[in-house]
Amino acid sequence: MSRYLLKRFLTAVLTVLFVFVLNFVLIRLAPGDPITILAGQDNPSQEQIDILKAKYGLDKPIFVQLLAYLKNLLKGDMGTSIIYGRPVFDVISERLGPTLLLSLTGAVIALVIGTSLAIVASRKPGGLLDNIISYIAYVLYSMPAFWLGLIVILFFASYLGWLPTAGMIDARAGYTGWAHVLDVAKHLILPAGALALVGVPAYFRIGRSSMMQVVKNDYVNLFKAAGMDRKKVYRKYLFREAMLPTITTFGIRLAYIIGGSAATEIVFAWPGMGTLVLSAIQTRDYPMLMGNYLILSISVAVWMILVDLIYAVADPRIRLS
Amino acid sequence: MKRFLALLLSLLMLAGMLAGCSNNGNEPADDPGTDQPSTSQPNDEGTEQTPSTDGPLQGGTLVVISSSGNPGSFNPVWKSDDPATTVNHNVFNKLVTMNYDYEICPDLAKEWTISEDGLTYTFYLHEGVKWHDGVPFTSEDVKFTIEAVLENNGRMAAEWGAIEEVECPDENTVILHLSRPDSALLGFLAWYACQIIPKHIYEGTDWTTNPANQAPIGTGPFKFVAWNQGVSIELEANEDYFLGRPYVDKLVVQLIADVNTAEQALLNGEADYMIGSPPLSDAEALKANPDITTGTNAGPSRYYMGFNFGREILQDIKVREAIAMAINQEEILDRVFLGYGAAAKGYYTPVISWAYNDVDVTPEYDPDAANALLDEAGYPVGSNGYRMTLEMVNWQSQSVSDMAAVIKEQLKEVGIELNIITLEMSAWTPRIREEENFDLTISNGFQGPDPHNMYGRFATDGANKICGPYSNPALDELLMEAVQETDQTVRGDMYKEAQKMLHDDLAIVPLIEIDSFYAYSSKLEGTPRSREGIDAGLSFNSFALTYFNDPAMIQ
Repeated sequence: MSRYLLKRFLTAVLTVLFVFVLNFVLIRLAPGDPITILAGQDNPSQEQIDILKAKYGLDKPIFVQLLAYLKNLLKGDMGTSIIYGRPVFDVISERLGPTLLLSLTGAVIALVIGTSLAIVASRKPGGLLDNIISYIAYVLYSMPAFWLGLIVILFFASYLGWLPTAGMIDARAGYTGWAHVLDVAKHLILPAGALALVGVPAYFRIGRSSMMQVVKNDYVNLFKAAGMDRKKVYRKYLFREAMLPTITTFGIRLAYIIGGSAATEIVFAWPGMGTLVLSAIQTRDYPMLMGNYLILSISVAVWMILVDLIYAVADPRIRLS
Repeated sequence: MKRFLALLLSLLMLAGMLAGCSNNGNEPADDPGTDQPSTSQPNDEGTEQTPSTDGPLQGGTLVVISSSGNPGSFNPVWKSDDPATTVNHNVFNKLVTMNYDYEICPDLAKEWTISEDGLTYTFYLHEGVKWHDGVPFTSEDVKFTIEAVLENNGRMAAEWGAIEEVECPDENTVILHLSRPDSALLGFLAWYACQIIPKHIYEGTDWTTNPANQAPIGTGPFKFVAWNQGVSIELEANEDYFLGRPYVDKLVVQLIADVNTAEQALLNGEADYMIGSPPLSDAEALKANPDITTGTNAGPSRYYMGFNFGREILQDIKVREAIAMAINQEEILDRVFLGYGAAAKGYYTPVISWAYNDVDVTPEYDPDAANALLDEAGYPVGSNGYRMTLEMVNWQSQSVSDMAAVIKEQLKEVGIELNIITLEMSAWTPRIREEENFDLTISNGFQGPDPHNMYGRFATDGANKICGPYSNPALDELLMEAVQETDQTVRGDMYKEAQKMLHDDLAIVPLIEIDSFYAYSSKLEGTPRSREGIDAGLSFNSFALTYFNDPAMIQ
C-alpha cells in the first residue's frame, strides 16, 4: 500500500513537472508577449522594451527562465504578476475559494440529481419515464454552459425575479456578517444550478447503464429467490456496486473542478479562477498563467490518486498494488 | 416531483429559446479606454461643479457595471488599463479633462495659458485641494507625476515627449516648458492615463508594486474603500472634494464581463449604469423601456481597412482603388451595426470637424467600375472564378468578424477571393506591425484627442500603422509641421491637406464611424453622458454630479 502510494506520488510529481515545462515553453513560443501589452498602443523605444524585459527576466533564454522560476518555486515563491504587480499566489488564493465553492456545490448537486434520476429511470428501462428523462438528459448534455447560464438568468432572475442576476454579493447593499453569508448563498443558487444542470447528464447516463448492468448479476436473482426484500437488495448490494463507475466519474470531474467552471463563472460574473485565467491568457501574464497551470495540474494529479484510494475503499475487490 | 422537474426543465428550455433569440447581439463597439476621443479646443470658462443644496436628492448607492475585464492596478499613469479607468476617473483628477463632447475642460487647473510661441504652458491650480489622506495637493505633485511618467515610461511618455521641464513657481502654479511646440499636448493631458498621482505616496518607490496601486489615494470626488477581487470596487463620497461633495454616498463599480448578463443586471435593477454598450440587437427593446434612458454619443472612433503596401499586388493603385470601389459601407452599417453609427467616407473622423476634409473622400461604391479597373490592371478572372486571393488578418472581435464576412461577399462580386484569419489581439499586433504578414486588415480606435493621432496611424514610423511599409515622406513632414503650428485654422488646413495625400495614395478604405450606444436607469440624472454632465465638463465616467431622481433609491 505505502509502496504503491509512493510510486503514484512520484509519477504524479513527474507528470506535473512535465506539464509545467511544456506549458512554460508553449506560452513563450506563442505569438505576443506581455511587454507589448504593458507598453500599450504607443511605440516605446527598443531601449525601454529592453529595460522592461530585463525587469521581468524575459531577456534570458527560456531554459534559464525556467530554472530561475523553479528555483523560486522551491522557496515557495510563485513570482509576481506582470499585470497586477502583486504576488501570483495572493491573487490566485483570492479566486480559489469562490471557484471551489461554486464547482463543488455544482458537482454535488449534479451527482445527487443525476444518480437519483438514473435509479428512477433504470427501474423500467425503455419506459415512458426513462424516455423522458433520457431525452432531457441528452438535450442538457448538448447545451453549452454559457448559453444555459444566460437562459437561467433570463428565467429566474429577469422573468421570475426570484434570484439575483450575477455576481457574488449584492453590490448596493454591502451586507456583513451572517447577512453576507446568506447573500452569497443566494447568489450561488443560479450559477451552481446551471453548472449542475450541465453535469447531470453524465451522472445520469453512467448511473443508468451501471444499474442496468448490475441488475443482471446472478446474485440478484439468488437474493430475490431467497426471499430478501427487493428494497434491501437494491440498497445494500445493487446500489453499492452500481455506484462504482459514478465514483470514478465524480472523481475525474472533480479533478477539473478549478478550470471546468470557467464559462459559467464568466456568464455569472462569479469571481473565480476562470476569469483570471482568461485575462491572463489575453494579456500574456506569464507568471500568472504559470501559477494557474501549476495549481490546475497539481489538483488534477492529487485527485487522481484520491479517486483510486476511494475506489479501493468502495470496492474491496480492488487491491492497491 | 419528477413530473414537476420535467415540466420545469421544458419550460426553461422554451423560455431560453424565446429569450435567446433577442440576445445573440453584437458586441459593444465601445471600450471606455481606447475609444475616448476629443478635440483640443481649450475651454477656459472654468465651469465650477458646485451642487446646490436644495436641488438634486443627496444619498444612495450608485452601482455602475464595467464589462471590460479585471483592473490590473489603480496606478492610473503606469500602463494601458481600460478596466481601471472608471475607478481612476472618480478617485483621481487630471490637470485638465475631457467630456463626452471631446472638449478640453478644467479639472485641477482652473485655467491655463499658452505662450504665443507654443513653448510655455502655464496652469493655475485650484486652491485648498487635498489628497484623500488629508495631505495638501500642490504643484509639486503635478511636477512629480509628469517626471515619473517620462522617467518610468508611463502610458503617456511618448505623447508627453515634448515636455522638457516642469517648473513650480508657487504651490498653485505649474509651468511646462516644451522643447518644441506641440499642439496635441493639451489633449494628451486631458484624455487617458494622465491623472495626477500623489508625490508623498509614490516618491522613492517602485510604482509598479506600490501598495497604493491596490488602494488608490487621489484628489477626486470619490474615495477608495475596498476592492473585492473579481467582484466590485467600492468607493465613497469625498466630503472634502474641492468642486463640492458628490450627490451619491457610495459608488460601486461592479465587474460583469458578459454584456448580456450586465444588461440583465441593469434591467433587474441591481445596477444603474452600464459603462460599455449593451448588445446593439437589444437597442430597440431598451429604447422602448420606460425604466431605461438610452442614447448615443458620436465619437471620433472609426473602423477602417488597411492595405499592406509591402505586397506587390497591392502596390498597384488600380487594385486598391478597385477594392475601395467594391466596398459598400452602407451595407456594412446596416448588417453589422444595425444602422448605429455612420458610413465612413473621409480619411479622418468628421467629429473633429475643424480638421476634417469632406472633399477628398473614398471612391463611390461601384462594383462594375471596380471590375473594369481590375481588367485594365491585368487581373483577368481565372478558371476558378476569381482574379486573385487575398488574406485578411483580423483580431478577435464580433464586429470585426461580421464586417469581414460582409466584405468577403462584396469582394467576391469583383472576383476577389478573401481568406479571413482571426487572431487574438496579442498575436495580431506583432503580425501586422512587425512581421507585416497580411494583405488586408481592419483596425479601429480613437482618432483623438488631437488630429496628430494621424501621425501614429500613417507616418513612416507610426506606431499604429496597418499599411505595412507605406511611406509618404511629404505626409510625414506635413504632419510634423502641423503639430508644431499653434494657429488652429492653419493646422486644420494642414490636416485637410494630409487627408488629400492619403486619398491620393489610397492608403486605407474607411469603413464605419462608430456611435457609442448607452443605457442607464431612468432614475439617474447628471450622468457623464447626459447633456447636463457634458456641459458641466464631467470627465468620461465621472459620477461627481450623478444623482437619483427617485427618493426610494436613497436609504
